[in-house]
Amino acid sequence: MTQADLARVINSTVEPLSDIGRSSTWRRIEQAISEPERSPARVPRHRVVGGFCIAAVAFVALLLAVRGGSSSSTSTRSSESLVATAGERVDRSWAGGQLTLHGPGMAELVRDGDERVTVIVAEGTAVMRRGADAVTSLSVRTASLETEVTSEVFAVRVYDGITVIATSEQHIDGLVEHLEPVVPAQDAVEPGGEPEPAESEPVVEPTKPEAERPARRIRTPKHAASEPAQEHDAEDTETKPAAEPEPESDPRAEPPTLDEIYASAESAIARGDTDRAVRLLERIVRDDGRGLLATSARYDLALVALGREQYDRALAFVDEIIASGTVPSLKEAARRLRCRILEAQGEPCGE
Amino acid sequence: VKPLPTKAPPEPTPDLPELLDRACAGDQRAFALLYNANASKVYGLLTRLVGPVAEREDLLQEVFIRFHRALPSYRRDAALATFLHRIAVRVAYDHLRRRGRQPKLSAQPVNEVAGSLPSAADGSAHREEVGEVLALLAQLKPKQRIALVLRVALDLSYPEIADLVGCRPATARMRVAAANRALDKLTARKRRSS
Repeated sequence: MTQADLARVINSTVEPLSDIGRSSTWRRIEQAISEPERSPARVPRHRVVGGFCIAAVAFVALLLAVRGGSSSSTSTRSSESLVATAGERVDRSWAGGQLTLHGPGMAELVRDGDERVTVIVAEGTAVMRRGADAVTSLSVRTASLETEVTSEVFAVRVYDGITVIATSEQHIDGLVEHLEPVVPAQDAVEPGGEPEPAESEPVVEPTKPEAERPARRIRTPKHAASEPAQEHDAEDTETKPAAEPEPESDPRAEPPTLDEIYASAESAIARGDTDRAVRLLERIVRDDGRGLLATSARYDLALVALGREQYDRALAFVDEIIASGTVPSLKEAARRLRCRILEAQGEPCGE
Repeated sequence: VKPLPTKAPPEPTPDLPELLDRACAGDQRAFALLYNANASKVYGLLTRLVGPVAEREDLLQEVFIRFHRALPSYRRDAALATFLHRIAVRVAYDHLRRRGRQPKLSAQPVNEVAGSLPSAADGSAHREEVGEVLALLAQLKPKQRIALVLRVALDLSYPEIADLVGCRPATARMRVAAANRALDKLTARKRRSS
């Protein structure tokens, strides 16, 4: 089945909205927007009685630790404790957003009206989706992390004192789908016995848009305070040869995945650092062979080469994509790019 | 009782910024006008994304309820249609995800869906083809399905898809590619079994 067939079939299913459907839907909308918004249903008590007590104690301790015991509440403030057992997921929503807690885990959802939502994660994996209609400002707290969420999706996983965040769907899927214990990576530091600072300071200082960053591990405050210069993301680790051992990294450290390298390459392109992007993309092409990422990397390499007016090089990459044909949609895009390259050279496209 | 909106508003209506301001201030009449002007487009998008299923009107309702809640935060730096489409994509995704958690669809509901197609698609051969395509699409992951439909049926570019679904263009491209590969596999499997 060709793409054109698919488009034809999908578009043939579209029918106009009938007047009756339009009116009845409006009636329900009108009724819904006239009613005050209901608060989300609570977790059934009988399922969480045991865990609730433990969670309450944990949250009080966590709140005291995070806020230094100076918490205050306003009249519109509401707080809800969430507990998810292993394999269970608990969903909560607010105007324009949704929280999913994957168990085993404990979290607290604090709402200041509809203006501000704070998710405090004691343990487990929490995925927050602000949604396209994000209304509320959203912040996330763990024992070692406090940050405003600006991306549409944001996940945080707290396990054994290690906090891992992810801000892209791809990495979030990875966090959720692999809920086995996290093996610390190159930029992760196990909690150790070093003296803890009296007051936690912001651990994450985003230096680039969150959407550009792959899943990464956040050190605990004690390490952040004592070794502030050693935090790397996948991009930083990439600057060193893969075989070279990372100084002071965990012996179980894993090299960055191709996906993380790709994310770094995209970040480099966004920053205009095309030399670095080319190095990373060439590495993906070398390591992934005829895979999807390599094909995608060839496309980006062709774009970079076109930007540098290296037309022969750009043509070589697009011809490889067209010849391999492993990704039909990219093949079409490569054909269009080929035309652009030829036109840039002042030659006819021929297609 | 407020009069029920029926058809699209007549020409001399307030301009869009004024309508938005009034709707934001709680004027349901203004919101009704916004609904009337955009419901059909959103309904069409939802149909493409989730198929001609019975729940489309519920999804349409959900889109406009979310839109109403989001009105105060709508900064108008994006076109209203784009803003609504982002919400519709999110609602469709939630629906497909919910449906994915339910027991797998058998061929029967798909055929029922295909049987409820508009009159233009009345031919039995076409209905069968549509039923097959819908059955294939139902087996894709929601994110892949949405990216594929936006790419193929609406002919959107990857940056446009990325804007609607909230991901990077490269991710959108990979989702479309993955959906195409999955469709190829499913089609080949179907051919072998038949």
